[in-house]
Amino acid sequence: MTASPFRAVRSPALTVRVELSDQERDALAHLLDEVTAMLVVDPEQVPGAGAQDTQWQVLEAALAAPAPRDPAVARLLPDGSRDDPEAAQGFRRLTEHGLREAKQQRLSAAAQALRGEPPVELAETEAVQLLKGLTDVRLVLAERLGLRTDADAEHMHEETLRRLGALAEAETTGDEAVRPDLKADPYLHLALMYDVLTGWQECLVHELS
Amino acid sequence: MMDVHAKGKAVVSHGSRDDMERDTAALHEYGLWATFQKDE
Repeated sequence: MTASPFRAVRSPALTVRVELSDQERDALAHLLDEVTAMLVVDPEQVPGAGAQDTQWQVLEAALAAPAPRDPAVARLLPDGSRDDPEAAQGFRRLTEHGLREAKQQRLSAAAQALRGEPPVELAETEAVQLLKGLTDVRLVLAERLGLRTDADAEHMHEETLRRLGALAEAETTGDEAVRPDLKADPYLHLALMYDVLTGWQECLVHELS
Repeated sequence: MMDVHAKGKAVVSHGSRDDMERDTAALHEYGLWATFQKDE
């Protein structure tokens, strides 16, 4: 893994040089795309809207609907009120569409910037888009990993180490039959991604401040 | 910030309903789960 994934350059204007490997850059752009796609209103997910409805009808039904059913999407577009469902719905009707659009636009702009010809250098606005985009990606991963509290995060780290240990052990014994496959362990995959992205975001914040 | 970390929430803004809805929406932009409520 790259030691320092981002490096700020301050002459003449602030830009951020991306020092991720091509593979890491591609993976990050891909994750940003995935979250962008999650934010597109899916007619199938909207109660009271059919797939054959016009875009406007879908939008209308989506705006009238309560929080999105997928908890990760609901975390990206949270309720504005916890104790007053009517106020929450009114707030959602006013703001959800704009928030969806703003997040989608930002996420895809960040992904596009990352897909430039290497060496990739981000303008300040692109770096900020990526910074916010990383938050959205991490919120989605955290929701999938069930991270709510500090204790959950600690548990995830212990669990990650335990699974990595088992993986390393199987590597050394070379026993094909018991060798665990990283790809076959979605939890480990998500947990490692979450950790790596947290480190990248920390670095980006540091470089921008 | 420590209130948010330890108690899970903190009051960051006071004002009219419209202003609070706008602040809430702005924080949602940053991925923060802000909510608005009437003062007791």
